[in-house]
Amino acid sequence: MTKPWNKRIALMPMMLLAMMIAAACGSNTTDDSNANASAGASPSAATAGAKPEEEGKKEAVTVSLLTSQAKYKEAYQKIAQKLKTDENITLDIQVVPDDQYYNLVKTKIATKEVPDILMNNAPSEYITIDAPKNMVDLSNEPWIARLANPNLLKGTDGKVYAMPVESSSFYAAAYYNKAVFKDLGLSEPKTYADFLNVLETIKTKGNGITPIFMSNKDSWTTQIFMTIGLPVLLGDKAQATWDQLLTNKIKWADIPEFKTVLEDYADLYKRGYVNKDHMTATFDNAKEALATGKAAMLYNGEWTVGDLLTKNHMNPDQIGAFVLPFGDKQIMGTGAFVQGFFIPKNAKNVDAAKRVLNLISQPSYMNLYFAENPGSPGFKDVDGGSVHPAVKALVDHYISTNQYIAQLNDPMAFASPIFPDLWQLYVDMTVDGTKTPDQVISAWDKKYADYMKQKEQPGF
Amino acid sequence: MGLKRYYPYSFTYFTVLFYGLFFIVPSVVGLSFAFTNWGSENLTDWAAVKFVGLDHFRYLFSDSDFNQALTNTFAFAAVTTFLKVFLGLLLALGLNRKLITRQFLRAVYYIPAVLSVTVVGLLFSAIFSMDGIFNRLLQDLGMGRYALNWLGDNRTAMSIVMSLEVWKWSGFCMMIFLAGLQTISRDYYEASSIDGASRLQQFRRITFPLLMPAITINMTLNLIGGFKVFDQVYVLTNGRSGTEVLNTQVYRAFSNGLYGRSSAMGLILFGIIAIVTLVVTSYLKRKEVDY
Repeated sequence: MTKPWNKRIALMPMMLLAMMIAAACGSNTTDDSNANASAGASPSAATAGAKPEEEGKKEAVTVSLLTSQAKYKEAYQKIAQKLKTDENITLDIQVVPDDQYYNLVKTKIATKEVPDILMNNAPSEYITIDAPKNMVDLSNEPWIARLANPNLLKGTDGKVYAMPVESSSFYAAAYYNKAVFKDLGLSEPKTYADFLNVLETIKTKGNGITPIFMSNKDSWTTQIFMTIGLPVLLGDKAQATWDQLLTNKIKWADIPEFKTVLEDYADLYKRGYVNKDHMTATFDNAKEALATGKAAMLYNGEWTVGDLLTKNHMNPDQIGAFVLPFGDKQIMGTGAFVQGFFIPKNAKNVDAAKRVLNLISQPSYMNLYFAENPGSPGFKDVDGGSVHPAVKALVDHYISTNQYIAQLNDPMAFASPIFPDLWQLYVDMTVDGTKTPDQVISAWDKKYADYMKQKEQPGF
Repeated sequence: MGLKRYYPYSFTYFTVLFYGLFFIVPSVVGLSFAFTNWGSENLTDWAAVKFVGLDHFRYLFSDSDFNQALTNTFAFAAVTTFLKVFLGLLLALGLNRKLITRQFLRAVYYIPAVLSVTVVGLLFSAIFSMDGIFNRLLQDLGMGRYALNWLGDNRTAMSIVMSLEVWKWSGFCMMIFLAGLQTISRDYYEASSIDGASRLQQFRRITFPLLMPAITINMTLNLIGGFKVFDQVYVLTNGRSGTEVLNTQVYRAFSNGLYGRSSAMGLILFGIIAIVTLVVTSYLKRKEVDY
């Protein structure tokens, strides 16, 4: 009688172990397959297969570049074409949906399955991706001497880990369709009440036009309202507030301006000023809605204008921009970051990647980019093209006159790895009955304190 | 007993050693990280990895988001398992009959199981988007007022994710049931017909009891798969609109560099799968019969 029981008892640990493996293995292949499928790119991760070619020809090299939908510009295809024609280098561009990019990059770095080059914000993402540990030091590259704004790119250790596209970027504003404003007799608002009046007019008289288009599937677009609104509302108190938060002298719940900006944001949804499909809409959807006049405005950075012109073929005369008057202040929020190209230390072909970066930093390549996306080039000898009047006006009125403030993400960069969790809470707040501003603050205080404690920060 | 003479236990030593070294040991070591502060900061600096006891578990069970993810995972596993097994059984019973299109229909119902989740995800996203086919159909039927952003609405998003799973895997369950049905001897049905048994009685007294091994397999595989859900949620909603599940939380913690925390979640998931599967399997095993 006892023998079968012994067998059963012996089988139990085996079954447990089998299930442990089933649970531990999980399913982790989706990110890659998804990324590639969405990009329409070749499924093979880039490899540096230098193949001997006929004499007189340059060696064929393939270099992979990982980027996100929002960071990707059509001009990169022209750059890739030129690299292929002139240098026999194949630039395998892999484009990942925005909502997956942030976590995907960090996961790829952790698992050492990295591309040869990846795009990210520099220097703001140095902390998120632990650049000193994971990225190649580019401080001694030949293009460093030609940088227009070299100090911007230096990390806390004084090293440069990314090759920039621009020398400055992120002018947070409401980019709007001038035709819609003209038809409804609207003008750019100067106070927050004016802003709400504009939205109300579009809602009631706009014949179905969405007053402000939100793209919460890409939560990096959701956060901009708070990321800019909070420092603008804090004004002179901003720096002291960040210092106290980083040392645990205050909680997020102790900042009344945080609650104000969250309530203002939630209010836009309650009043019906936002598109119904905001939860599943992407930044691309937002630009399309704006370009086709289905939406009156969206709140984002100046790269919106370049995309509206090149991707959506919007009439340049119909694009306008105004700064959201948070707390009735005429101050623009901006970011101390630019788009950067990084080379992971574990990349299979670091030397070829360095060569590619050096090549595309040259005016003959960078001019291809700025011809379609005019702006402030990262290199002194590159032609930035003619900047759209709406963007130029923002620079003239706010940057040149010192009427700007740094976005929340720059001074609070230490916590940036968990900012996507905060952005998720913002998104939760936009759905009726899910989370109130108070619940968002309380949940974020808990997540923030836990993360800082995990990272063994003094005071936590 | 007789087999022992020909196949000594020593034959298994190499396999057990290989399996243990490359599967069991790494799995156990991996899960032991659940009790440490292992993270991106001390990824290879083993001296800095500290034992933190049950800290991760205390935090997780007091975290409303994690508890919500846990509830969603249970709901997903239970609902999809029931529907997949139920629909799979119906399909198998239907396609076990002598139909001209039998082979064709079997292939049609099985095809979703071999399609990539990404492809199916894109398909479902297109169907259930605000201006997708489903809402247009509602409008054409005069029910436009019921049109919703199905994947962006907390009331419906989880159901859509579940429907993807059910649509994809019911055909797989059908195959297992078909295999089970074909092992049942026709003699039982003939004998019962002579005794005057109705179709329903035949199903209750012959088909269902003799299909129990197939039901056990289907239930076990689907429950494990249901608890491990990740791809479907990742592709359709990325955990938004109230669809967060355990594995999306594990993924997020991992990408945030909190490896100890994500291991703790993995351990919890393992515990749940182990307990639920053992209970369900031992219950179903008792129901199995042999005439």
